[in-house]
Amino acid sequence: MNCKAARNLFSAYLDNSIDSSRKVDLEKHLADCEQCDRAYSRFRYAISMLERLPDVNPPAGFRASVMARVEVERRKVPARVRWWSIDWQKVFTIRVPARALAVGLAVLIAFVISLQVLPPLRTGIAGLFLAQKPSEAPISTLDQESARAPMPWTPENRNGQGLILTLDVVQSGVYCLKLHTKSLKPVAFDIDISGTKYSGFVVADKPSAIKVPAPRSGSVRVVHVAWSIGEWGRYQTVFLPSKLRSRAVVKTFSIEKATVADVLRRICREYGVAIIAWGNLGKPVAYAQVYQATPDDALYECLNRVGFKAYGVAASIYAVEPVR
Amino acid sequence: MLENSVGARAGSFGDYEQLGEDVLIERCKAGDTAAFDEIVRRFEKRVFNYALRVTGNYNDACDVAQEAFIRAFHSIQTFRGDAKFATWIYRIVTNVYLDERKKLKSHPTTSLDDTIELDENSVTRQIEDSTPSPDEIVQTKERMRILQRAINALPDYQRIIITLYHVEHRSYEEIAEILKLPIGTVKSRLNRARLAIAEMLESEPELFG
Ligand SMILES: [Zn+2]
Repeated sequence: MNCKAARNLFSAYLDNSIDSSRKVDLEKHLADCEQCDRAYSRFRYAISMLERLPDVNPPAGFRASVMARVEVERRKVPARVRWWSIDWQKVFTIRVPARALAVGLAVLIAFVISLQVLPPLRTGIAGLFLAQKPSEAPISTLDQESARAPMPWTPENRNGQGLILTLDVVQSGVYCLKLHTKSLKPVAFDIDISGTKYSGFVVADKPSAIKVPAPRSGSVRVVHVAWSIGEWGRYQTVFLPSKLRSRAVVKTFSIEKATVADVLRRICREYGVAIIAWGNLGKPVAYAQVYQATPDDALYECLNRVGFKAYGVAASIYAVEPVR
Repeated sequence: MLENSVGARAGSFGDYEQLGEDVLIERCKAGDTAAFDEIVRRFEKRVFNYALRVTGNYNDACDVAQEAFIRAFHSIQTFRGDAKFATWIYRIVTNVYLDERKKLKSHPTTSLDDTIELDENSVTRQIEDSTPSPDEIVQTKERMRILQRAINALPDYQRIIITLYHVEHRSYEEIAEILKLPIGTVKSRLNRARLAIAEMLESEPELFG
């Protein structure tokens, strides 16, 4: 055994996870090679020092300051959300300075993949990473029968200064989420569609559109949209059914120990309606009974007592927001 | 170590201390901030110490630890019971550190040894004799300072792994889960980090002879 091989076994030897034949070899080497023997004692000593690093108390008031921030965050809707799921394989194999590159690559790869899977996209990513001018989105194939929501997003949207979300339905089970603004300042957005993340900017003359495949039958696709303009921003959640049902139906069901998000998901699935919501959707809904109700009634029944209101913005598309 | 938040709890949240982790998390998900407060109480020390060893800097550790809890608060809905909360929060702290490290390194920092006054008890614990002499206390402090400097000199991933293993006492399996790396990779990187530390300490023979 040479010195290099011996040193590579130090960890396993110290942890006693070395197999016995190699252990014999290593011990023989340590007995013969004074340098490695000394290196091993230093190794062991260094590890023992590590193990004895003292714990340090967080500063006094640390928890209080965390909770103070939590309170602030709870009141305002989170501004720009940074997606922080990282591809660790890349972070660690490309080595440190390349991490930024690695993330950029991952996004580009996602972009390329989505280009292949979903026909022509104009995501903000194009603008960000490829400096590509957005071309006309292929929304001409709209099914005129289906819902089309010109979403004037709530009075709070400051006359279109924020991100205006518009939901279109493209034939063959594809939704098109259009993002635009009347603001001249860029509105930054992050979108998470079932784990695939997009981010970018829109300004008044440069809208974006993202195609979202409808979920499989009987399930609901949840799309998270976070956006910010200066200090102001909002977190919106879009619930998309496998199929939008344009004719009203009545349903009977009950919901227990749920959250607002659970309720919206359920109503989206039961009625085949799309819902665009914001506010604290984690708010608990202890119990709600929906009896032979239309979607409007069901939304009212479930949301009214927890401080949310819903209104229809187009056939089969609802907006949900906290009551101010 | 468990109960040193002197007077911070007036007893009004007493019930929460009795609750299991899963119940607390359910309550957090339902928007109960008192439950989140209890989570912070239980994990602040581990989160802070991990952040401290990884950033090597008291101020940065405060920032990273705080940011990690805020992210945890925001994404608590995505936490599933299939991993331990500790694993999840270590992952968040690691991500916060990796996201913020550029910023952290660019603002003027005070190094760990300037800002951390080791209290006499923790120094005493480092020394096996019952009554350490002033010289020994000084020497132990010096060793700790050099050791932290060596940790700081490691590449990020080695520092993260060595801290998780030797300071936070996480198992290989848990580290693999925190970092989403294969166990074999965790082991080989830990070995490299240990060798690097040992090598760096060789240059301080008077302290680590
Ligand atoms: Zn040798």
